[in-house]
Amino acid sequence: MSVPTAAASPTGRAAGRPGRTASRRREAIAGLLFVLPTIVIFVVFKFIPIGGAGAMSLTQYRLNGDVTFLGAENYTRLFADPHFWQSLGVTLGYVCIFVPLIIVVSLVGALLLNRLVRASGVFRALLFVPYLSSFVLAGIIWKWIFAADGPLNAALDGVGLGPVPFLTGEAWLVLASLAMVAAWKGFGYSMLIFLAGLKAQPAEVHEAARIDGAGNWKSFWHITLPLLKPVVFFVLVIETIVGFQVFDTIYVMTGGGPARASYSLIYFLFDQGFRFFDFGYAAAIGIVLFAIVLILSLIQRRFFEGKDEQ
Amino acid sequence: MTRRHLRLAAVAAAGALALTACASNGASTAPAEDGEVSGEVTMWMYPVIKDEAASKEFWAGAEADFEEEHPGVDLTIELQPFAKRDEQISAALAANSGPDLALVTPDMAATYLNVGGVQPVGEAIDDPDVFYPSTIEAGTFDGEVYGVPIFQNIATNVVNTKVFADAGLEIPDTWDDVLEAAPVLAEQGIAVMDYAGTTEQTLNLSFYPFLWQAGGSVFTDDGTDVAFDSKEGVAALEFLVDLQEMGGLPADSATASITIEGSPWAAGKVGIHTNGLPAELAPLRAAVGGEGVEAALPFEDEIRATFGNPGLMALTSINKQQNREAAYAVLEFLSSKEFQTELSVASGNFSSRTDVPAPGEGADYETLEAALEYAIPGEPNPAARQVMAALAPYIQSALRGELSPEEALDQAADEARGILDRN
Amino acid sequence: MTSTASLALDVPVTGDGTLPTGTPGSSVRPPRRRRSRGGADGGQTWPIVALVVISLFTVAPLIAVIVLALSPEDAPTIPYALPSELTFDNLVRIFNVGEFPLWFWNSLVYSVVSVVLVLLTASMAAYALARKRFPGRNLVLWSIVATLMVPMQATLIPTFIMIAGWGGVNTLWGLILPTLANAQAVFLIRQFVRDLPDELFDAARIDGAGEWRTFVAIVLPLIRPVLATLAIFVFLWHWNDLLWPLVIGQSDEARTLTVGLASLNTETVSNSSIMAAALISFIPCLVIFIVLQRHIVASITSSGVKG
Repeated sequence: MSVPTAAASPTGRAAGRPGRTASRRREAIAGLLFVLPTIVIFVVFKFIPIGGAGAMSLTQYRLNGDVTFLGAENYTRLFADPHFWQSLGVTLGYVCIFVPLIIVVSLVGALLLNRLVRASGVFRALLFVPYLSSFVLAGIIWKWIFAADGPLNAALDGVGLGPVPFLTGEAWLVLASLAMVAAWKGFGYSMLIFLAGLKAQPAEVHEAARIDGAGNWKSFWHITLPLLKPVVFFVLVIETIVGFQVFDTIYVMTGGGPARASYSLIYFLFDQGFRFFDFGYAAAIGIVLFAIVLILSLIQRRFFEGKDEQ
Repeated sequence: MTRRHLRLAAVAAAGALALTACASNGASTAPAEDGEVSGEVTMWMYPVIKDEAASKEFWAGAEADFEEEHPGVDLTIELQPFAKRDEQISAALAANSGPDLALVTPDMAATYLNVGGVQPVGEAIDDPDVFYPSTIEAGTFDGEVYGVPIFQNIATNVVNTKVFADAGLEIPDTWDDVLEAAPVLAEQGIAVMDYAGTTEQTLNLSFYPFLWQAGGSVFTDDGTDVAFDSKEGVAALEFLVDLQEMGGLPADSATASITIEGSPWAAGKVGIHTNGLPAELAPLRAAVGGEGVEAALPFEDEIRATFGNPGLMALTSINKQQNREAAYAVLEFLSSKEFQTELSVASGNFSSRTDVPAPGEGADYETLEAALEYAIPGEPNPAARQVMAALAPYIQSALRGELSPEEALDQAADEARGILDRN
Repeated sequence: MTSTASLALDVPVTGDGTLPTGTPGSSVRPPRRRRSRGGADGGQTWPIVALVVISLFTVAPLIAVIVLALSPEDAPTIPYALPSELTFDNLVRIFNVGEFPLWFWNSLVYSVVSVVLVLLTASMAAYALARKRFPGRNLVLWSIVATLMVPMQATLIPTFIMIAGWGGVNTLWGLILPTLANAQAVFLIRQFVRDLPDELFDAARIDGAGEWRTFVAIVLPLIRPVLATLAIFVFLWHWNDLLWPLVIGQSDEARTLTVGLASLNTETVSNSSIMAAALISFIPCLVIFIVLQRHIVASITSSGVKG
């Protein structure tokens, strides 16, 4: 089945020779057969639903299957719906707490691990272990920790700080509590990415700084962090997207409450879809979420392409 | 991962696939033989029997008893949690996959009927006259019966008498009594009553009874508009907000759940547990030391009113023609005198049949039976559950002092009207 | 898949396809290089103290779950007292609460079957996309990669309607099928296969090996490191997934552990039972982590960021 000369140069331009053409065709057929299952899966479970989401968002789609074409009505309704803006505000507020929190925690963890000479494997495992849990598990644990009669309030009571209504108080407190849970569960992953970035920094630069007499803080601020900037930016975008999709912890811990204080965009979508069965409207919310994530992804992609050109 | 691990995983996967295939093949039904009823019926039941283990045992027993009577029918009773019951059943209806029979409230039945999610069950009721008329009426829409009543629920006040005796107070019976007692008890750090404001709780067991007591209603009589933003509605919410402000409700009422363990009631810091169900009497009593707890009539303001719904077993649109007779057989079994007597004893609920005695004896059950007279089975409207979901967070806002009662109800009414328009 | 699920491996992909950088065949190991900063161990005290504090923050809640799960049901427990004795009663009893064993089995099927099918289909596609020339290859590749930018929630409703239309609600196949479209897996494996040396394939061709045999006998063994890494992550994502199982598995037949746990967290179940269930749900992930820790850490550190 082989034509020795062609085999030696895979990009050979030996078209026209009959054996070559046959082998080409065989290769194409084999390639298509290998990729076929994946194509089928993606067409059916990605492309059709994406098109479906766009189409459904233009209709009223009822529980019993009745479909009415509405045009852009779902979108005009959405942009006039105070709950949409409220859920967007809640989500933005959450992101604004969650993202800085998880970046600081994972960066601090990575910096500390990077300094260790010994036992870094043990600590790395201890810091990473919450990442293995589900958001549901994290939510159950922390709901108990945050409870009015839970351990955290017992401790705060002990030092006279009184019970803090972590999940039932002011909106910002509820969002901060939720962000903390998500950061607890998720920071191990970002921490390892930061750690990889730190390990990749050339030791010589740091040595030079040390010889120049730069202190720890100065060296971090002027050398480590600037070198780490692309990684920070990368983690920033990833965690922002994660933040925009917050749902599981809210579902387990607050149910979107109290008084819609944690009523996030995805919770809004879930409610409209699976509580009110307003499928068309829920699809429109999904399209808006898609637009947000798309913009964030494009910013990220642009940044990385820009970096390549340098 | 070594190759051996991968192979193990693949074997496990293949086994799993084979199993799921079996499961879906098993769904086909054998044809009926010589008049014997046959088919498969899945039924969703909820914790009407509070104790998890007792509940499991009771329904497993019911399943076995039924299948002994009807060997051709494969009955599966799945026990589901009350939380998110509405979403769950709605999703099953949307997917056309799930229970043939499900326990619903009258307003849920109305909601599902609107989208063709429930079917008439009149044929499964031999003699409607053995039931309390109200239990049948609650599930009757346009002259068709959409739910077989299998028990009658009743919510009423449960009083910690020690609290009132210690403070030298009469047990409050009207709103005015409550408002009078509240500041006295608040001085001792005790809330005169509790209120379960969590959005997981149906408003039928939180806000609506107060709305009805104020003389208001959720919907207008013809069901085309909401009416909870009336002056009666505002009065009801003001009553709760005023109580909250004067320490007459526990601090976290806006988000409080119905869990007894760890609640202010269990700490002896609540005078009256509102909207208590018969099955909660024993645990409520146990939580405060086993005595000094009794049932009382619901509060009176403009009228005396409470929530008391029949538990309706509805036949869903998921039920296929070939399983219809089998589903009817299950419904007949559930509405039999024998079964309802057992259920009544196990759950502490009243039966929906006139010929089944009260589930217990003594003062509590006399009071509960008397409270039945004031029971409102909820307001069945096709949009009832959606309106409830829209209204609940606004009530939380009012209790948390973020909105005034008028503002909260006005905004909720705007939203609810949007829902009604789209329905 | 959940949000995190579809995102976790954005990392390699968005790095613009430079990874994995390690030579295929040699397993991806974490960098073993030790750099001494500040000379001797003298500067080690405060980072260790700080790490101990952070470790307490990460591990203490999990320890609390273990203690609560092993506490007698009615005994006073943390924060008010330490349990006077430990018991396995809760763990035994939890297997009688709801349909717990069934949920566990469903989670296992959902995770394991998905891992096997995702890895199989994705490596086949990756092999073709990296090594075979056929019309539309680039279109296929970039269409798959483009789906990374579509959050799963955006297609939740139409996917649900579609599966419901096929009668897939409350079935395991309905749960599994839509999660098999895993663009990260295709992309990551493709990078790996592309970097395999050409000579291997030339040799196979000269030996007259068929396509399928080349794939099974040459490609699969060589890409084992990346498959191991993906296996772990795909397992974790499915095992921990909530939103999709929540909408598709309304009934016990297809309810997974996460959905079941979320439903336990109410009303009638005691706290110690919930914690026992939570603990059991965590054990498989912990076991996998302990056994395969090296791969998890290596995959993120070596392929996470372009250098």
